[in-house]
This record gives sequence, structure tokens and C-alpha cells, in this order.
Amino acid sequence: MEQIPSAEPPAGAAPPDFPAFAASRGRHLLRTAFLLTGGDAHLAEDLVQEALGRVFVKWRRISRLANPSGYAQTVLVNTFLSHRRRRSSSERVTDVLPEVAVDGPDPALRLTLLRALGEMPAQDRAVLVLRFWEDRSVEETAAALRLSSTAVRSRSSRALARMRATLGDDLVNEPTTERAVLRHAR
Amino acid sequence: MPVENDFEGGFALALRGAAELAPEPVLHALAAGAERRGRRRRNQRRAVLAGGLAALVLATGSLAAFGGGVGAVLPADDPARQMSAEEAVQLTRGLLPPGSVRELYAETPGVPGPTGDKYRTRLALAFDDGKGESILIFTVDRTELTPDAAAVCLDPFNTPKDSCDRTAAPDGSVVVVDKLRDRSVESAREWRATWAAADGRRVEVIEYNGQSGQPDRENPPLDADQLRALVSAPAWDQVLDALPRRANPPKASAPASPSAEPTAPAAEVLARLVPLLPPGTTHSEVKGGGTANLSVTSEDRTSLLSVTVEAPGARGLQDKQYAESEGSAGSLAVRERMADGSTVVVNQFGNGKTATTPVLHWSAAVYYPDGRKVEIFEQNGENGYTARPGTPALSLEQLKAIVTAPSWRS
Repeated sequence: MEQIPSAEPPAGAAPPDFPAFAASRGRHLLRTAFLLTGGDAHLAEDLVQEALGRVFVKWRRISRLANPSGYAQTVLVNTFLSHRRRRSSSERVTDVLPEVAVDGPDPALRLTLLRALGEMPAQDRAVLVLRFWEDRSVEETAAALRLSSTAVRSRSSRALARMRATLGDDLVNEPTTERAVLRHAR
Repeated sequence: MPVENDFEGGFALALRGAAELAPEPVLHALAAGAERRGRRRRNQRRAVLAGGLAALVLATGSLAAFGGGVGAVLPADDPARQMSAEEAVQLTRGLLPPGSVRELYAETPGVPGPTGDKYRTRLALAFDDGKGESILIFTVDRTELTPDAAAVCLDPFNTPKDSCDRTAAPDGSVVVVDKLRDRSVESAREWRATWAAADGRRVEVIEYNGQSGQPDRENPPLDADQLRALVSAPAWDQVLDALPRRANPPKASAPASPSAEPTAPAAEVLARLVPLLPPGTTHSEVKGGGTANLSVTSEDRTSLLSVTVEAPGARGLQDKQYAESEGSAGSLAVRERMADGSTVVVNQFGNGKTATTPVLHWSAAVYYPDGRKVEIFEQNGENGYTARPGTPALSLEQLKAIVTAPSWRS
């Protein structure tokens, strides 16, 4: 996580725009967390709340950054990694998939992808999510994860190879399905 | 996007598809939960700093927005009635204009859904008014929030949108109709209407122009007036009565404020900023984000300027000390100590303070010995979420000239 000196608001005077920030970024953060957790919606929501809670503590300073959203994303990824370090490496997240029946090739592919993410080492997962979901460069990913650029490239290459082995070369992008909207409703 | 071959491109798209499977968060609850955790974290830290003494007194302040806050938890009341999921769907059908309705998903009010929240119930319908089927998602809940926090316009600085209208009623309730766009699918519309009562009751409907992310008509089926009437319909009390009552509802006497947008400080800053723009530039105000924003054009280049000005004080002194440290900015930052004791920092960075490829943000700031601060950010975009590479309208030298102008201190 980036180092930001503590700058707490005086007691009783929280910055007025934190709720708006949290509300406006919540959906994207939750989706990031959903990918990081390999599709565990409950854990994803927990991580987002924890990450936003950390942001809240330093909101006075963070709100004046040029890109508080990017900072919150980095906090989320580091919250996820901290959480993973505290968990048993044998944890399985695939049990939570899926909550509703999904059919058709596209939902199946999405679930396979989430499952594959969930079985991947946490740091590899974070690299893939930052690089290919957050569109961050190798250097930016390295800064966020406190890794060298070489390490990010190496992890990214290894993780992608594993994904290719699992998913094959037939990745397609189909429009959002009604099933996905049903999941939104949940 | 780091697309280096077909598989990487396909993988990035598949990730987006997988992310779509994430549940739609209840945003106000997310914000409230985060604030609670943040306060708990801060209090724990203070307790440690105080030598381990138990810190049981929690800060107040904006937590007033959460009514009873995190104080003593009292047993919640049982629901006044029971209602089945089918009854909730039938009630909702009756509130819609003429058209065909297809049930997609419905929870039983009072029975915790997948998120485990017994104070909230949700249902989704496919509604066709004759112009194409669209998804409508309803959420009815009892919150601990006053209307100011329960019904908010998403910040247009961060979310593309066409409009957001907020209406306060004499009884303290508020209706917000927020017409959002999608960042990546230009024609996609997501209209949200929220009714929030002073006692924490809340009804929200989200409608799309087709399916989420897959538009097949120009607009969602219900217009703003229909949305307002729908979410504020008294019939929702039947559903709300089937939800348990909160142990800590907000105080019903708190009136709703007409607007949460802090415009006055921004107007003052802009009044000082405009005369400092280089000759030949044109400008227009961009509202939102809680800062003074100005779109400026110079030599056919248009960029967004965001300016913050802080009065003298201890906080500014902390900022100055931090800005003078190496870790406060990336490798392109240039710090300059001035004869009057002030520090001027000129900086360029990308997506993240240490990122430099590509450069997306340009900034200049001056920190005075009394804690006063003037800071300006520039990016190529129309809002807070758009930052394109390329030469910006104003150079770093021009940004520096603006923040160091004596007129800020008069």
C-alpha cells in the first residue's frame, strides 16, 4: 500500500464526501474483489468494506490525491493479499460457485475462469487482475504490489500460461446475459 | 490495456464477463459499513496510542447520518406482517404501467437473501412496455441512514451520467433520480431512483434500456416522473412491514438538506483562478468532485484543471512536511525551496503516484510556512475518470505560475 501519513479529521467532522466516493466506486471495487476472490461474493464485499474502511481513516489526505480511486484500488488489492496471508493455503473457494444455475457456453467459461483464478496463488491473481482488469502497466502493477517489474512480468507470464491451459484458446466475449443480470439482482 | 496477443486480449474480455457475475452492491450500505470499520480501526489505534486504555467512546459527527450509529444494539422488532415472494412480485406488478411483466428473481421479505441481510429484500423483473423488454431491479430495505446518506447522486465526476434530480418532501423524505451511463458501452443507460424516508425506510429501483450492458432500446421504459411515483408509492409499506424493524433507526426529525454539493468554496477558488489563466485560453466550469474544476482550451488542446486551496493551519504544515519528503511523489517530481520558506512542487505522473508511463496527470503546488496551500492538477479529460496521454493545454511552467501567483494570498 502506498504510504500516506495519517491525517485524521477532527473528531466529529468526517469529510463530507466520503460516502459519495464510496458509493460511486463501490461497484467497481466489488467487481475487482470478486475477481480477486475467485468469485466469492461474500468475501468480496467484506474485503471492499475493509479496504474502504482503511481509506476512510485517511480520507482527508486521500481525497486530495489526484486519483483517489486508483489509491482505493491499491488498498483493496493489498487488503486481499493481507487476508490471504492470514488464511490457510488449503482454503477452497470453489464451493461457493455457483449460487444459481448457469447454462450456455459463456456463463460456463466465466465460472471456469473464476474457479481457475481461485486456485491460483494470491499474488499471481493480483497481478492478472491489475494488469488485465484494471489495465495497469507492468510498472504500475509492480508499484502497487511492491514487486519488481521483472517479477510482475514473470508472474504474469506464468499465470497466463496456466490460464491458457485451463481455458484453452477459445476465449470469447459475449454480451451480458440475463443470467448475469439475475446475479446482479442477488 | 496490455494486449500483446490474442489470448491476452481474450482473457481481458473474459475477465470483464466474469466481473459481471459479481452481485450488485447496495452502495449506501457499503459506504456505511466502510465508515463504521474505519472508525473502529481509528479508535483501536487511538486506544493503543493511549497506552492500551479501553477506548469505548466513539466519534460522532457524520455518523449522525447513520442514526443510532454503532452504539448500544437493541433487539429489533419483529415484522408487522408476513409476505411471500410471490405477493411482493404481485404488488410490484401493480405499480408498473401497462405492459408485460416477467419475474426473474424474487426474495421473500424478512427472510435473509444471499447476502444475509434480513432488513432488505430484492426482486428483479423483465418489463416490456411494447418497445422492448428491460430489466428492472427493486430493493426495499430498512436502513440506519438518514435520507442525506440513503439517497445520493453518484458523483458525476466519477460516473458518467445525464442528470441527477433530488426532490425533498416536507415530511423529510427524499427522492433521487440518477440517470447514469456506462463507461464502456456508450448507448447503455442505467437509471436509478431512490426514495428514502427520515426513519430509514428506503425503496430503490434500477432500470436498464434492455439488459445491463446490452442495450437494445434508446432509454429505459420508465421516465423520471414514473420512477419518482413508483419508488414513493405508499404501497411499498406493505413490503416494508414484512421486514424487521431496525434496532437503531435514524432520528425521524432530521430534515433533509436541499443539496449536498459543496459549491461555495469552489466558486471562490474559480473566481481567483480565472484571471490567472494565460492569455488566449478559453474556459468553462466543470462541477463535481468536491473541488474547483475548470475545462481550459489553449491552442486547440483541452484539459481539465482541478484546484484546491487550503487556509493556514496545522494540517497544511503536515502537508508541507510530507510534500518535502522523497516518498510523497514519483520520480518526475521537482521540489523547490523558495526564499520565503515556501516549497513549490511540480510533478507529472501516470495511473498511480509512482507511475510515469504514460504520463496522465500534471500538477503544481505551493506550500507556505503558515500551512497555506494552493494546488492545481491537470489532465486530458472531461471528468475525474478520464485521463488521456498527450500534451495538456497548460504547461507545467504555466501551472506553477498559477499556484505561485500573489493573488491567492490577498
